[in-house]
Amino acid sequence: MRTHFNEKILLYKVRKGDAESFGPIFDHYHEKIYRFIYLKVPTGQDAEDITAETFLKAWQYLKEQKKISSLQAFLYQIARNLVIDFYRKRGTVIESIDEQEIVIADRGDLTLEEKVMLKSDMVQIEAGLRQLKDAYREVIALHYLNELSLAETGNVIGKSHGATRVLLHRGMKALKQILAETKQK
Amino acid sequence: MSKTVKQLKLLRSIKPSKEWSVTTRDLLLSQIQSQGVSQAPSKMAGFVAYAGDTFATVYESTFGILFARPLRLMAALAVFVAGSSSAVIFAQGSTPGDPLYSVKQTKEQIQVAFAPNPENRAQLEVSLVDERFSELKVVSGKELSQEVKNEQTGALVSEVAKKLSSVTKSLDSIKHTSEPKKAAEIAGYVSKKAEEYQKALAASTGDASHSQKVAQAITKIDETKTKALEVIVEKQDSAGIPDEEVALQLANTIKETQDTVQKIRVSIAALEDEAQELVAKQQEAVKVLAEAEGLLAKKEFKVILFKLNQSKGIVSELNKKIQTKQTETKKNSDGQDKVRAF
Repeated sequence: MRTHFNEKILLYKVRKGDAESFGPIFDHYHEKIYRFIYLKVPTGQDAEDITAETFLKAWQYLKEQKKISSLQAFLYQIARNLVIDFYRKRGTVIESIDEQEIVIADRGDLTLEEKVMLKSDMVQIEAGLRQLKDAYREVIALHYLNELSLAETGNVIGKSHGATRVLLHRGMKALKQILAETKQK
Repeated sequence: MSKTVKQLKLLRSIKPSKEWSVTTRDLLLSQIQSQGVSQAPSKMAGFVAYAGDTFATVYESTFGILFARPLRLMAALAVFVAGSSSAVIFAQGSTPGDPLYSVKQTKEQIQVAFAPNPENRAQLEVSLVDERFSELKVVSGKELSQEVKNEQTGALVSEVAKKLSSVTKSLDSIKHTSEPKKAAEIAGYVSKKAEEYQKALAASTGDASHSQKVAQAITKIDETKTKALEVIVEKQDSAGIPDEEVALQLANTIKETQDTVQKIRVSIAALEDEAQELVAKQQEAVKVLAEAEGLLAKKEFKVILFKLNQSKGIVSELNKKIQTKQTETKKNSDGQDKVRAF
């Protein structure tokens, strides 16, 4: 059993046409890609569709023996482009966002009241994130939710380390303001 | 660590369902593995997959209880049952609202993405439109609240429109790249299917809430038929299609468009303002169609097609203006009704 995700070896094998090696790549990245897309689209169903398409496109690109410098950045970039296409096909009108059912992972350590409060926090923060402009939401999702470093985040969004840090700072400021205003209401 | 960052970290639990993850992984790997293997059966978790006509027979005899509807597959298509997950199998008969419907949609998405060429893709996409119509029948027979039924029906009709856009794109690819006889054959098949879909939607007596979606789907069907005609006209010489056959198809399309243009005249009469401008546009469409009809005897098929597209453009523009005006009129009268209530 593979205990260490060796990306370089897997990519080499995938380029040689070893389909099995694509499995661990999917296993390793699909939840993060889904989470990234989920916050950009109206429904979980849309996020699932675009996530599946992201990996399809990745496979198609890789089997053509094309080289990439970072698989992680590559997958996020495909996902970003697919989200843009998603909205382009729909026109500029974005349908109202469904209330997402946030599933609390089974936390046996929490009381029912604590679970209710936890869910409420999550709904609030997700709603706050969705009100941000896309550039802020994106950088916050990549850094805080998907645990990418500032350098890795910059690599995905095509910005320098410094510019990414500034964007993140502004994004968090905007988010805090939205959350404060929501609380006042 | 700030409170906001702590809250953000809570969202790390956002993930797709385990079922979706497992089945999507299986589907992806199965399709990747089957690429480049044309008719080889693949053994997966005790089930054997076959291509083409044998597929339905094997499936129904083995899983008759699960599959109430016969599976229709083109003999030319090599469709593999993808995935070792039983969820994929059980998903086949699902409809919107069913827990496994998203699995079915993912499977279809992957099948289309892995279609080996535009011809197969067009045929597969048409089979998926057939599937949507089958699902519409199933939904209409289910015991659901009217609200849920309307929602599911509306979603399916939107999907029909979406799939037809994909068919139109595939036809465009076929027009430029495919072998002429094959291209003409597929275009003819698509045109015939599109007529069936048009009749099915025209006959549907759905709720007014999704009448706009039905109208959009009918527009997409029309676009698909026009694109199919374009392929036929383009490939006529090299595919050896007789002039009479092409002339007949064009004549039928001209007649249909003339009927649509006449119906628009009636809708325009119902509008008080801007009627003059709209009548002039409608008359322009009548004139262009008459010119197209006049060219049938001269067999100037490409010019006829151009004029057909021109008239359809005018029809589309008129329909949009009429719909906008009707919506405005309805909003105003609703507003007036609310005022009267006080």
